[in-house]
Amino acid sequence: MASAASGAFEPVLTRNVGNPAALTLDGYRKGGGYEGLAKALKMQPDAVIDEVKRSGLRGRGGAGFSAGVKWSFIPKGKGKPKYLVCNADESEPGTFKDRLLMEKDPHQLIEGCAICCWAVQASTTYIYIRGEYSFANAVMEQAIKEAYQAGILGDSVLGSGFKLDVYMHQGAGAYICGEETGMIESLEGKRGQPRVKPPFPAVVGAFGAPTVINNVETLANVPHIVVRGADWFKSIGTDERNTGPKLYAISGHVERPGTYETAIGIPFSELLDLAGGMYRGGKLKAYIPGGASAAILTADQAHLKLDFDTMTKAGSMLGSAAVMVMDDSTCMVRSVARLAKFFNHESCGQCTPCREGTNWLELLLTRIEHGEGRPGDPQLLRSVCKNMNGTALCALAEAAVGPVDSLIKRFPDEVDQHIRDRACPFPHRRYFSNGAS
Amino acid sequence: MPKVTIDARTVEVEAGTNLIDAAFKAGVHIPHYCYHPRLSVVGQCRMCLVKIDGMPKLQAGCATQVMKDGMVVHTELPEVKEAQQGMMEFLLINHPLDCPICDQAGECGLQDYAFKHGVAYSRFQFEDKRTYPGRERIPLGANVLLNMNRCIQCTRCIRFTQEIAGTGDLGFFHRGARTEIGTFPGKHLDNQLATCVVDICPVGALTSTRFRFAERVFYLDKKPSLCTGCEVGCNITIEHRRGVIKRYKPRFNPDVNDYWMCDYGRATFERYSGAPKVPGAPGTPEVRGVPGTPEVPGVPGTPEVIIARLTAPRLWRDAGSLGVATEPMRPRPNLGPEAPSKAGRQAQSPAAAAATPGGAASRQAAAPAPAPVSWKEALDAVARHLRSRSAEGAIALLGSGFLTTEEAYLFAQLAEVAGTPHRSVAVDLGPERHIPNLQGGVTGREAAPNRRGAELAGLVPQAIQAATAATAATAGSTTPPMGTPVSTAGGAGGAGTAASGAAASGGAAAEGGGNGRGRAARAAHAAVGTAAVVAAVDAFDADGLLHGDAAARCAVLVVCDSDFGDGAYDPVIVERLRRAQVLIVFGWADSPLAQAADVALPVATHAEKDGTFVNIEWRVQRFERAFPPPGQARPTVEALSELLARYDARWANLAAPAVFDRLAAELPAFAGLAWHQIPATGAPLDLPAARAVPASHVQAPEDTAVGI
Repeated sequence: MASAASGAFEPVLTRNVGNPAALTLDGYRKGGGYEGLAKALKMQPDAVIDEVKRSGLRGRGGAGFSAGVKWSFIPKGKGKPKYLVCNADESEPGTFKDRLLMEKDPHQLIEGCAICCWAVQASTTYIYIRGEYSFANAVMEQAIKEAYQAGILGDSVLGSGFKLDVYMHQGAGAYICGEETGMIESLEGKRGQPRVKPPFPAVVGAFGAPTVINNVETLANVPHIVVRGADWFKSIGTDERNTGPKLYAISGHVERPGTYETAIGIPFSELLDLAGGMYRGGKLKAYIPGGASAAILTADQAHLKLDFDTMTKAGSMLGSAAVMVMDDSTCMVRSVARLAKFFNHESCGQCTPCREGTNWLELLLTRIEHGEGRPGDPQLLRSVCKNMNGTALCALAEAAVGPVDSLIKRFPDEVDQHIRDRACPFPHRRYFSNGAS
Repeated sequence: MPKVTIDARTVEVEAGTNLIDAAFKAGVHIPHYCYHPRLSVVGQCRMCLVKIDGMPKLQAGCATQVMKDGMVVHTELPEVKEAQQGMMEFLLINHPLDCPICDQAGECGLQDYAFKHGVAYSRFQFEDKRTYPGRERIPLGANVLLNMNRCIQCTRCIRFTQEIAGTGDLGFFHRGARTEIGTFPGKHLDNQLATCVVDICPVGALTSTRFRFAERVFYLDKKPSLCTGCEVGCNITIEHRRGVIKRYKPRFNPDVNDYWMCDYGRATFERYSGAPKVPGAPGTPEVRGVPGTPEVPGVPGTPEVIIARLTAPRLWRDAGSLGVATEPMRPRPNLGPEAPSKAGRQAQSPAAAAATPGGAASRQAAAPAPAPVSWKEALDAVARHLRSRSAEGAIALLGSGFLTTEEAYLFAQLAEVAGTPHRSVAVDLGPERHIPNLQGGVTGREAAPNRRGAELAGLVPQAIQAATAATAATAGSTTPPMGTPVSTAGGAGGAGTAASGAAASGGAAAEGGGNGRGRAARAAHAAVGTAAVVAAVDAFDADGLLHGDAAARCAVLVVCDSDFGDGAYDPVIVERLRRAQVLIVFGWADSPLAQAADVALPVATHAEKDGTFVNIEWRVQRFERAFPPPGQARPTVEALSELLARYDARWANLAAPAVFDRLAAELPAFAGLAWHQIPATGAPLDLPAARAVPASHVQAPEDTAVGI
């Protein structure tokens, strides 16, 4: 869990990493903590939303939807209670940035939540944290307790009369509970499976009430926007549509895997240099820019900027910015088969294309990797992907399709070689014969 | 209302209508599995994907609502067809393709859509399909079995138990491709409506223990009808093969039972199914003619008695010939001038027979076997008794809540021509059954479908009618028309007619049991000072006959039909009724009462005749025969018509439609109705009592919606 910043970039979100004092309320306040909240409480809620909108902050969880616009969907006025649900499920394979933020700087997240709640006039925040993050959960619980004692949370936030409660809610380890409606169902105590949309959570969310759902990193950005202003935020990044600091969780065949904060839109090759280059000087073969559900990019595309729009244009996505690097010793079929196994395991099972399609993809890819593939299998894989794409209830089916589709498109020779040679050309153990890999 | 264009057909629908319903209105069928009009929309099966102009992706029709004008939907585009084909492939890759041995074959949604939207070959070439070993026949409850291998995870059954039954018995377990349906540990699918999950299951995963593998569905003849299980009047489809009913299925009627019916009602077809299951096979001498036998286990009202009744055999079908027992073939000592004293007859009661060993046997030996006679001879005997015996005692007519309105009307006419005021309806109370619908639901208590219709048609003693009229007059309301019910079971009805002061006592008395209603009526009249009249006349009503000693004072007692309730199977009641000097029974079952009759007339079941029932909400519903009656059994209307024709030729050759039109012309309650104009969903009667009903009988279901 190393953290480093490029020489030119002054860390924003990770500024307290390496400063254990910031774990306590006093330590956090010394570094200017909760000034953003105090400032926001003096502003009109709509003004806060406008500021965030103007900053161009886009959701850091994967979809990249404008946070300010999302907040503005929440109906105004009294009526039903409103909720903020902070998505700390972080279950996308390869992603470990939110964990860092919660473990090293819990008050930053609490402050972000509080500002968001003020902006949309929500009185309750649920932080839905991944069940495996027990340490992060303990840190957060401690910080919340401190915040209550200091009057930052509770009946009157910083003496403003605004009431706010924050609860931690531990998930039970399901990928699908990172999907926002699946998360709401789980939060309500039901089986975690996505709801049919519309209605969207902004209208009917948790407990039937309007609900904002934001990623940890998104909310962590909010205090800085309020304190330093939208113009400062916009000055960071590639262009108008890709602004602000960004955490990249890089893993795989690199010398120093970890979370790195830079301005959004750093080219992949520069990020790779930050992480110390390829592992033992290996040759880059491919990388996944945004977690397991993003399409695989090849070494030819290493110059691309890691921002939302560039990645979309390249046929992949920034997603959660979990960059997985693979050198030329990697069997792409095996890697993708492993990802397909993950998605099959994590499909909730309610909708047909995902339930049956993820299963079928895994069976086919495993067969190919085992050297039992048949000549028509690449076409069949493509066809199954096509039937899954855009037909399912939530985005999981499309996530499962992403890597498989790019495998067929970008590494057709490798797939063909598996089928032609009736074996995997890479030297390694037979692939997960008993379910382990 | 917004307009929507579906495949170039434009329809106007209410805002908020989903595309499946809108397309249905436009005459376009959008395939679907998980969507059901009464269940929440989950968009899981993805079969209903359609292309909507202006939307980049295909949209689920069930989850898309028409909100404003101008939506253009396509269901025939290649991309839609491709998606449907893709979904069918996904559903079929792990589904067993063993339709020939699957009970659902012939009414299977998967089969139907596979023909229409599927492909004929499989691209899923692996050794094994996904199976659930050991989960091929899991009893979810008493009435439903689950075969997990056939399930397509549409969750209709889960949502049904959550949203309609309100019990939440079923749930999803595991996830992804291993997702299973099941009950929670230690729980069962145990509610009144449980078997509805079998109806809404689009595939063969859920089967009814009562029907599974009883018949291939494509051999069944299906006819719309009504359930006779209780007074709710659920619309059903009778599914039979060559006159043997195999099952009932609910038939959609939004005003009564919506899409549902209860498990009890479904089981009632076994009454009519014909297999002799009780000890004492029909026609055997130890059964016929000896009161107290056959040995119906238990006491009235217990489950044993109800089961015995449900499984009682058809007498005449099994006898093979017209086994009409008439006076000559079973000379009972009390019929002639040499009749023994009442004490002598009472000595033959079961208790007495038991006390004197061999008593029953010796009497049996003396009784000759019943001889078959023709319908004409049997009806002649009935007419002769009715004409000649009035001097020997009262003539009483005991109707049943199973009579159609037309039969009850003719039966009341029989009382008129026989010159007797003693006519009433016997009805049992059963367990309370609630059938949900959009208006909240209908709750039934009486275990017969048409007590209201029978009373409206005139099966109410005239003295009570007169007394009721007087009551109403003193209370200042308008005089109720003839045929207005005097009281209703459960203390709920009668609000429009019975004196309000008597309602409380009536309600209390009605709790007593089946014919507490008679007691309630008496209490009502006692309250307005007509006690003397009532006591003199009313003793021959259902209450007096079944629970008092009125039958012993009857010269002629006509019971129509014999299956009026558990009483026909209760040795004590049978013994009471057979003390009448002449007992005439119209019946379709070989009940002990029919066996005890002096004249037994085989008539049709509701599946074998036409008629109308008036349900608890005073809704007239019409049904027509599904198949002809067996042997020489005939519809009661026909038999009564022939009998009445002996008095007055204008009653000759009447069938149910003609009788209904005649009674509609005569009885104000049915004014303006005609047989052929009764709508498919029934016609509500405009009665004071009908207006009073909803408040007490319509209950709002609990709010069990998920996702709120």
